[in-house]
Amino acid sequence: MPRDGTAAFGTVVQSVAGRDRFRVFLVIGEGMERGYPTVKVVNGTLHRLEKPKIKHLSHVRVIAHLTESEIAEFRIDYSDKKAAELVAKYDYNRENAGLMHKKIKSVLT
Amino acid sequence: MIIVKTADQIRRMKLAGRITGEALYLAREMVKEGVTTKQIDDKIRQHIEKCGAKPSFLGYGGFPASACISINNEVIHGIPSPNRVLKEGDIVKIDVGAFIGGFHGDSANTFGVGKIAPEAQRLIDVTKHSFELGVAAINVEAGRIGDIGNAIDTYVRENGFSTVKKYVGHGVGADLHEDPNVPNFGTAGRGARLCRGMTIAIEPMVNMGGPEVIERPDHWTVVTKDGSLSAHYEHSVALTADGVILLTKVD
Repeated sequence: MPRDGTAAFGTVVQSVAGRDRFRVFLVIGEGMERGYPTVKVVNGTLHRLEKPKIKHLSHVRVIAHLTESEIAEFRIDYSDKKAAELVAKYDYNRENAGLMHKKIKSVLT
Repeated sequence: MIIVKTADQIRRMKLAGRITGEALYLAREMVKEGVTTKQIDDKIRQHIEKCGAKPSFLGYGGFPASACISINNEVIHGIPSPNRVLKEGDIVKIDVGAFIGGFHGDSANTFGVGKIAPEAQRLIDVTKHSFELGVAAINVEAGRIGDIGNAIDTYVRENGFSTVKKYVGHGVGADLHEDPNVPNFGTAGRGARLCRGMTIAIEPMVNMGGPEVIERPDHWTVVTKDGSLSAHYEHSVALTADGVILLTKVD
């Protein structure tokens, strides 16, 4: 029996490709682009609810799922502040987010 | 988290796999004009329970039957019904799972009812061969999940068909669905590392038309968005020191 391979609303994902590699996001929607599944992600700061970032599903990895009560709270308080709060809760490696590629580059040069 | 199995656990999975494979074999023999999908499901359940196992799908997420039986443009998760009668020319996807000894087996195949259109037969053959290429792409020591999907998708596209992206294969073991996801598309050299002891279900779902699918109002049956035919082929496989073992294949 196949599994649904998409990431639903309330999934916490980490980028594994692109300049935002290692940044953590919250999925707020799904889509398809040229036949490939995509997700709409926000983090409440750089990527806000009014203009979510669209990432290919293969460019993110699922790191957590919001609990049902967190999803309910987010639906009620559907704001960038709430999104940022939830992302921060699950972003275990916050200080390295977005900076890892710079650190690697500095080590290599 | 990916759960790696010991040799003993893989041995136990072989039993679940054998019962699954046998149930699918019996189901194939029933695929004829005039047979209902409920009759096929009953036969599958009967065999699985006679072997002392339980149907993996029955009650899974609320699924009401022992097998998913999908016809023509239905891709997966078709619910067996006494009102769905097979007709000459249909292509039927049967997906079965059995649970015994603490482990699941999961397998699927696509069968033609009587004489089917040549293009439908080609779709079935390409789907099966894409699975074989996916397995051949596995490097147990140093491979990645993306190797499998890349091999499958490349072959399918070369033949003018498309792979379903929304639904994917998966790890299998004590749970029917375990990590990792095994997409039927991807980039070679990317994704989770493969290693000995991994047990996964590789299951290309191939559409004659576009890759998009939609869910019917019954919240289960998935159909192609453009109404084109779809085929499905699946085996649970174990990655071992001796190579890849097809746990659900019976001769």
